[in-house]
Amino acid sequence: MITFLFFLPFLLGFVVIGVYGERKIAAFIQNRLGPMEVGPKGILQTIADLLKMLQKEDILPKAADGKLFLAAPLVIFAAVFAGYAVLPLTEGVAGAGVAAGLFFLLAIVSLDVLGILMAGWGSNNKFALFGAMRSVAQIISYEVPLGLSILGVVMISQTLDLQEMTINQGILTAQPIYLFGIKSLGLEVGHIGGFLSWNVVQSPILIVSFVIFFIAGLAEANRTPFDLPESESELIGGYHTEYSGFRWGLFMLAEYGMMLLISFLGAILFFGGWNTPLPNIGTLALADWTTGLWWGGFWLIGKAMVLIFVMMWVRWTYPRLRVDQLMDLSWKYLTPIAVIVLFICGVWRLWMI
Amino acid sequence: MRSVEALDDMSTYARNIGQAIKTLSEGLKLTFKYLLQARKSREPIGVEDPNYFKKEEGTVTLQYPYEAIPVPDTGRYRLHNEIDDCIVCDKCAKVCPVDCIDIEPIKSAEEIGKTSDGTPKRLYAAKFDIDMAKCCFCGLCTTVCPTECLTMTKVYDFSEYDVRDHNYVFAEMTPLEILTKQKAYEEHQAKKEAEKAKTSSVSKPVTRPEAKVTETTAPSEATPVKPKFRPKPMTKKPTVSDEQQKTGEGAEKPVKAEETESTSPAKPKPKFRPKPTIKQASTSDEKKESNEIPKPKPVFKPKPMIKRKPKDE
Amino acid sequence: MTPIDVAFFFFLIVTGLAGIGILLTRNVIHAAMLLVIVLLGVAGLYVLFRAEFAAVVQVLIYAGGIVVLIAFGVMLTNRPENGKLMTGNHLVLPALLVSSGLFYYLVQGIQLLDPIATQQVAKLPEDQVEYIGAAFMTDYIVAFELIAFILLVVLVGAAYLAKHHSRL
Ligand code: SF4
Ligand code: SF4
Repeated sequence: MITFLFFLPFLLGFVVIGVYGERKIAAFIQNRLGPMEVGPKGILQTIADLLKMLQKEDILPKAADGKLFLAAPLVIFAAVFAGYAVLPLTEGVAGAGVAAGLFFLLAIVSLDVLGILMAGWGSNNKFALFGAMRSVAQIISYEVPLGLSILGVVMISQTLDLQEMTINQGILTAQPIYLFGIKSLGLEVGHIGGFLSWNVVQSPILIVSFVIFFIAGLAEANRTPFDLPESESELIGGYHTEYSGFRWGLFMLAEYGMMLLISFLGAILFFGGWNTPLPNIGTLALADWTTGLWWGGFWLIGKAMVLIFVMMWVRWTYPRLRVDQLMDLSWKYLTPIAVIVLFICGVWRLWMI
Repeated sequence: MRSVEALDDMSTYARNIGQAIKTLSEGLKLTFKYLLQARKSREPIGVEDPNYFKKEEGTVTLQYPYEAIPVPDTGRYRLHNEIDDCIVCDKCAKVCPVDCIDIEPIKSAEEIGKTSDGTPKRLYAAKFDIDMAKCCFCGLCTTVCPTECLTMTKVYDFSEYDVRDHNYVFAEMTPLEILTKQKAYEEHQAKKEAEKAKTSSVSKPVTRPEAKVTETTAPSEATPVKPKFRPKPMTKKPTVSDEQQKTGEGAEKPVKAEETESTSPAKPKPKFRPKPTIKQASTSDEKKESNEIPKPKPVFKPKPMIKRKPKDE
Repeated sequence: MTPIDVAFFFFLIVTGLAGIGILLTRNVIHAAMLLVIVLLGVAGLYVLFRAEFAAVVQVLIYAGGIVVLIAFGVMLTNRPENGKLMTGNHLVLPALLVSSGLFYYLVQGIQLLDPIATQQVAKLPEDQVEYIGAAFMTDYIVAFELIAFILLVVLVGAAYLAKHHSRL
């Protein structure tokens, strides 16, 4: 419940800042200045846009399937937001203590496909339908490598509970943590903590996993190299072509919510969640000093923001893929590699740790 | 055979992956470089600045209303008319290829003042509108302006919400003034008419006869002023005044001449009016005659030249 | 009524209503979406019965997978002029017979198994995931492998069907 009360306003605030950040990053990469007019350096621009958006008319196209059309944005947003229920925010503050938390997250987030289908079909518009079909094909395809890469982490950490997984990546863990997960090196780093106990360091093969996870996550969130479902230049916005005002805002909210969720998940699975990156060095107990209730939230959000930045950076670097390239990437490259990595993770777990 | 193909496929596969990683990281590096460069920003320097073409890094946006690249002093944008210096000769209106200058003159019985370069003014500008929405910024009007009162300024940002606001009004007369001036001139005309009728000798001077008077009073120098526009009179052609003959060279010559002579009031016109020799000649003639014969200034009212004399008297 | 009971009846009613809705609506897409509600309601019931893992799987596989496939299939078919895809109710009698027969055996089965199931649930350990995983790999290994094998065959078959036949 606490996390719910935290994440809802946090998500709204994040969208405001995220949109601004995105526009600024895009502008800087393209040698522009971005929004500069509203407020100092344009920081109030998103709020102004938001106010404008909320005043827009909520249009229901005559030929649309009313029920589906109206429900779709709510379904999408609810599906994405439900994913936040199981995120551990900081030490001792986690959402629903579902043992199968990670699994639940994947399941509930996959429901967002339904919302997209409803929007696409309900709009009774060929662009919307095209967008929805592309989106579904894409999300279902990328769920495979996404799931497989996550599975590797689950194998290494031996749990599906995100909070437990996080604890095992820091100085608070009860288990011994060996450097690079290699027991025979005999270097126990559990008490040193910091980045040395993160999953990617505990088991370096997870770096590959992370890259796959990140790419698939971009695709799940319909972010740019994979934004075929919305591609403005071909589909005029895809499945949300017909939406306006607040309902369109919900799509936007869901997209940024998905981005943030993927970033949180990436931080938790691979980069130690709310654990500090600073290790204890001799008497300099940086890790002990920077671990705590508030520090935890700070580190988690900080890590997520770094990943968000990378997502934006990627978005403004690469062009959009073609549909066949998209499918090639998922099925011919990411999936086989993810399977191999999964296998290596299993072996690693059995022999090294 | 098969296995070789499979091996080939495998190596292509591996190469694809390697290439993807290389090119993708290359791309990220490039955009990150730009991201860092965005700390620098372009300054509003003009094209004269030696660094103008050297700014290769950083954001290129100029926040226009707040910063702007300086316009060279020779910028040719919005027109401005210094109405006090305008002699309402109508040349600009005539030359304008798009007819965007609209002038309505009112004649006056006597000289109404001098421009800052000493040219006497004999017409009131009841209306002097330039429709900048039509203007094609060719600059012809500024070249022909005898008093250089019509100039192009550096102001280039004068967009308006209503296209009618692009009509710039330079005339400064109030409706009341216009009315009184018109009336005054009519009265003057009427008086003249009456006088004429009395004397009966005089024909009626259609246009502005008075102007002559002033000039004439002044020594002959006055003449240089009018040259360009009154082409018609050539017929007369009597003696050409000394200065005048150079005809072609026009510009500086006249000026000099004026200066020398100019002890008297009338200032020589601006240099640029080089026009055809002919005219000058004509002017000179007029001048000659001027003592007796009134010369018709304005281009537009050609008819009257003949009988100026009476009036003067 | 405890909160658990309230939740139970809530899920029950939602699931039931949505199920009836599927029968009554003639719009295929609406039926598919109602099916999602049914599946989610059942997942909710699973959670109430402490079968969280089964609930999650239910959502992941059925709601997130199967229904999407159904809807996807519907969307790939041609859309009629008025934009609505309709079905009719055919073969009402045979369907009624089959479903009531199934229902009868289901009720019988549940009554038969109820005592055993109650015992089993009481014995369930906290960590279901581990328990299920271990059970798959020991007691139910044959079934598990068989399913895995069938899925593999399906995968290969799908890959074959998707291949460009001109290149064969
Ligand atoms: S610049 Fe050219 S178009 Fe504009 S008013 Fe002068 S003569 Fe006319
Ligand atoms: S050419 Fe110059 S002096 Fe003549 S009317 Fe135009 S602005 Fe006035």
